[in-house]
Amino acid sequence: MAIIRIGDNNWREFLPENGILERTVLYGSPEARALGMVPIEDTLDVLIPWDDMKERIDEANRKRQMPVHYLEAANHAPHNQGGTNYCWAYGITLCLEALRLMENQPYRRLGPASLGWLVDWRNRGHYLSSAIKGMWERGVASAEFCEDGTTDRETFKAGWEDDALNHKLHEWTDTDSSDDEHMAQQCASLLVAGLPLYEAFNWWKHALARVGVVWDEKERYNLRWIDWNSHGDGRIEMTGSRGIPDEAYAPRVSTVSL
Amino acid sequence: MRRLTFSLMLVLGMIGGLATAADAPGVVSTTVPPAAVPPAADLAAMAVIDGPTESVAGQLVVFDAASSTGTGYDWLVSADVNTDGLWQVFEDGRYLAFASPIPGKYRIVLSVAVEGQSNVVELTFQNGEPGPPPDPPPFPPGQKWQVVIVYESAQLDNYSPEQQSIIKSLTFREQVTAAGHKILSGGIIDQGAPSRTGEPPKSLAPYLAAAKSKSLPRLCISAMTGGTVQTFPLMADEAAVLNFLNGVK
Repeated sequence: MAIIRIGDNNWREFLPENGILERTVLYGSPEARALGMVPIEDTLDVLIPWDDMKERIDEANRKRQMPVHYLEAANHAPHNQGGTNYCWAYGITLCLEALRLMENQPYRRLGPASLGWLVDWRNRGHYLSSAIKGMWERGVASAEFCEDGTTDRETFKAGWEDDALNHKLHEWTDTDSSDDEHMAQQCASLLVAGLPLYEAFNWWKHALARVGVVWDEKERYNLRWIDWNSHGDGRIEMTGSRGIPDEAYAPRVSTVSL
Repeated sequence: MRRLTFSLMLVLGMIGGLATAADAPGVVSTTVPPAAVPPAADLAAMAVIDGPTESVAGQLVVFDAASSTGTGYDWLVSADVNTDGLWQVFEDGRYLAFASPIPGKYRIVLSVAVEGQSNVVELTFQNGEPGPPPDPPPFPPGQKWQVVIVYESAQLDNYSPEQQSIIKSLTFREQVTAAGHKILSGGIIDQGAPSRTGEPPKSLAPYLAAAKSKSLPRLCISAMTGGTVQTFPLMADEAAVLNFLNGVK
């Protein structure tokens, strides 16, 4: 199956979804910090200089040190949110699934629908910041407890809430989206450092996970992004101005559950 | 700073042999200013500093004022950090020994005098970032290891690209496994990663404990049969780690 690529030439073909509410918690604010979203300048502030970007990205792909390499090596099947507006849950869950592999934890398929409590089990979009808080508080259950594409917790297997405590994300790096080029540099630097990105696009009203980047001199900033979508497609690619997320958060530590 | 204290005898020995730290690899040396010896009749004070203009933090360097014309050597070392205890003069002030663990620019100032006239010269010295620690001695070939790498995820950007690759590269993990070693489950771990109880995960706790309070990133190993956990500063690149685990010199 051909990989979907979304760029400035075709983005209008992708209709806005109802998966996210635009960010209201300001970058670097006390509220953001209280949610565990640490500004990038506090932690991973040493960005890859643009002059070195090609070499570093090529090297990271050659050594397979980005989340996409782990997902593909694990034959991670795409999630499918179906008719739900839970992309905010699927995006953050994919980040956790990838981070676990990069921490050398055993592969574990998780059930994003178990985060539905955050919207009171209604079929609603949500804030990424609230999803980050909810993931930290209660975690996400294994897929064996809850299938994709539902908002009905009655279909979940007993014990899902306890199982979810094994799968949390604890530490995050927040990015500064005030400038597109700077945002691209931050995203590429974090991916090369081996961190997934939980991201959202306001034009698309959609959240997903960014898991890789390729140096491509035909594209804006010479970057072609690899994202993991939740419509049964898994890997897609994004380019151009529409490929720069409006918010992106890099989870750095997950619960160790072996 | 510690190097300064234990190196007094070394300094004196170096001075005696007219060798300076400029002879060491990675040290750039210069003479400030270029030699311009005045006629004897017009003998005037002239301060001259022979010594390196850059080195690496923690390395001992010596500045030499012996080419100066004059007496009464007065030295001053200044920087953005407190330089107390980082330097000392010897041989009636003709030599200054300096060592600092703090990278940055340091100003080395020398003043000499002849019959009430003084001359001052200044040298700017760049104390660079220390290089990676030397690799530990190899183990006997054939030994297989359980491997854990402990790091701080909030410091990933401060690790070299090669060390980031050791931590994150899937290809490297496959090479370690192919060599017969075992990276433990969950064994690429942030120092603060909790289990669901909030405590360190049991199977990794001995490795985290061994790495606690030590510099990160850190390679932790134990024999396949268990036993004592040994920890080492993470080597410079993937090849160095593999060579170390495989006992290759």
